[in-house]
Amino acid sequence: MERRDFLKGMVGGGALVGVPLGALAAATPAGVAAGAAVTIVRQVDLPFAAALAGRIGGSLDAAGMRVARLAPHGDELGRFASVMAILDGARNGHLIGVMDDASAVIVQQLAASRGAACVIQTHHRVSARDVRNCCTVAGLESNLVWSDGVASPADRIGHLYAQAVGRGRASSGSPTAVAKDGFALANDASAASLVSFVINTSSIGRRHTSRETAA
Amino acid sequence: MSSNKRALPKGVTVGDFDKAMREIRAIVGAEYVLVDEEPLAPYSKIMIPVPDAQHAPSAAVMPDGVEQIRKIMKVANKYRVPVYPISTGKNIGYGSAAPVERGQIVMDLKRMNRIIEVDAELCTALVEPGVTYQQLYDYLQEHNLPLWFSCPAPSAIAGPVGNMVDRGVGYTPYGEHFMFSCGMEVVLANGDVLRTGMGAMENSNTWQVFKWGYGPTLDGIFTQSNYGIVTKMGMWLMPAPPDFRPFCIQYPNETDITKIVDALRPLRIAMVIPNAVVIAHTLWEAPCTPVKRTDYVTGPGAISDDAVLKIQADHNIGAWNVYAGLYGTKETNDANWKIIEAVAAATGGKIITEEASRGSKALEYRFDLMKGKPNLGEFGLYNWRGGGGSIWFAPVSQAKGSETLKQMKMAKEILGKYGFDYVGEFIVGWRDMHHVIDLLYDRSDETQQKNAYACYDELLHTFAKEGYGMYRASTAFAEKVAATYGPVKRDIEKRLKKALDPNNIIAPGRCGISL
Repeated sequence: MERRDFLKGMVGGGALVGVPLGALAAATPAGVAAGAAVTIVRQVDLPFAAALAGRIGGSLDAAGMRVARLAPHGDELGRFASVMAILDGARNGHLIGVMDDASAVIVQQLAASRGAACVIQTHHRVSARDVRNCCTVAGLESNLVWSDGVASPADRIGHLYAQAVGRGRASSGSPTAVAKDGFALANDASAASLVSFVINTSSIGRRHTSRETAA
Repeated sequence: MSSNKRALPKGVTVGDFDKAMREIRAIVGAEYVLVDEEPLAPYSKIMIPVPDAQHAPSAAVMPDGVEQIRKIMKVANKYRVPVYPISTGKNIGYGSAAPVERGQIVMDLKRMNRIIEVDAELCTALVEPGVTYQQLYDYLQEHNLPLWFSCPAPSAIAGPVGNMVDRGVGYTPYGEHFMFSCGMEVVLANGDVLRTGMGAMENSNTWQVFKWGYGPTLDGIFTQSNYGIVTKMGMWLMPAPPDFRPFCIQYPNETDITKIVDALRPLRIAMVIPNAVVIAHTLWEAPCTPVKRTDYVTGPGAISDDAVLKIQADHNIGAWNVYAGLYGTKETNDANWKIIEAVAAATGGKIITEEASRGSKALEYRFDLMKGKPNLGEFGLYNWRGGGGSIWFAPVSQAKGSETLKQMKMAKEILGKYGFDYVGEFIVGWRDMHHVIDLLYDRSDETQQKNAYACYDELLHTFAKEGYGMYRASTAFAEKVAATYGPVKRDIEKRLKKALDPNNIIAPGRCGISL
């Protein structure tokens, strides 16, 4: 994917705050592997996660990608063995996570320890008025910050992530209908916080076991 | 604003850097040298409340052993390129895998992940830096070895060498990790390989059992420093006790902390309680319970005392929650349990036993840590504020009740001024006390990030004025913390650096040491 195409996804909707286009143009969403399988892992006990993951999944579906969906509970995402199993299952493609802050750190750190990089991460703050997004892209030293209305808060994220995993052209397809109910639920809670991110799992290493020791 | 221009080591030209990388590739293999943006992402700073650019690495290299490290040292000296060694790089609240200065080459030792030896009779282990606590735990389980180790809270992903080198602590009776290490192997900047203690002697089989050797004991200078790269470490393992009885004692009032510390200190010094006593505040317990902050706070700023009281009542959490354990035989633990019951009754505390704790996430992860079982329970703290930012502030004091309220008042005032909550715990060592405060902030919010930095800075200087020094610190504050320890100590550290690493190639700036 061209760097410029990727950035169009971010800039196209406007509302980017404090990021000159020159700096954006230098950012590279590396790790693009056209046609790679994607595993979406969304935390099942986080209402907004379902809505956001639904939108992202819809964008990927529209792009014709093979998408696997997992919905573990937050407790599972706090367990070493469970997260390692999720990573094992998501090798050789991309893992898109939608979960709370703690789980995101755990998944990203365990992935990093196996050689897999988080290429994009977005913090979302959901309030009754809007959704504030703060996106970090690997290699770009400034965050991208923008706000969305609550009516369609995840469209841009879906588009962005679809591009990041290699199928950006078709990602303007309609998002799934399930999303709106999810957002309505989320809006009942004040200032919910969650994280979405993309990990390139193509370089993920096999896990080390204690049998590999020399004792 | 910052851009994504290539990070280079300070004072190194592009040409020299590229030559150095070519030579390092020839040593470790191209696949183990990372210079592109995406593969380097795991080495970016996570929690440090400063712009990413300040801690951006130029590259990462992954040697597979001592010989490769020695060769890399030669290249680093030749081109004056600094390397920043990490073991697992999961010291998240203190800095993670990101180098202390922009442009340093991260030397990731994760490929060196062998458990070289476990001696079940002497209860010792010799491990490499890439070994994680989880790996060691699995090894002991698979080999049916009734041995325990002490680990820190993020134990499943962290490792014993890195934690010991940073002088981290844990929650079993072997919780002072450097104290329970025994023997190091260190690659020096000139490529020499030093084995400390008895390891210096040919054919010695006492490297992991006798710490001192002959002459000056050198191990300490390789902790919280940059005088060498630790490539092996001996550690003592604890025989699993026949009877382990963890407990929690809950106290209803914030002011109870004074009597708690004064009542428990004698038990700790006399080793009735052999592990570090953790005294966790309500707001340390709440996120791991889990409690949602947004259910109690809707506006900006720090949480109110009234809201904290409501959390205590709603979720059955103490103002202070004491965690400790008895380790022994049934007979000794029965005897000591009576002492614990008497102390709790005399101080107004309510005891929660292991049986009564079932189903409580906050208690279960603590009880697991006290028997050296790795888990990730404490990561729940990152959900408290939203935005997942965390930076550890950890001053040391005497283990006296009079210190506690004074420190807590100072901390609460400063944190509140910047809009942050007091999320703290006191950890009573043998005679000292670590007051660990997790400064939780929204790292996706630029204002909060700036406030977190300013808040930490003010905490640091206010506590230092009162004579409270830090036992560890975030890499972003290494220089400032080092400065609080005075000029003579720093001068000695610099002279040691000059003697051992005259080209300043190993992690310059780490713990404030540089030429």
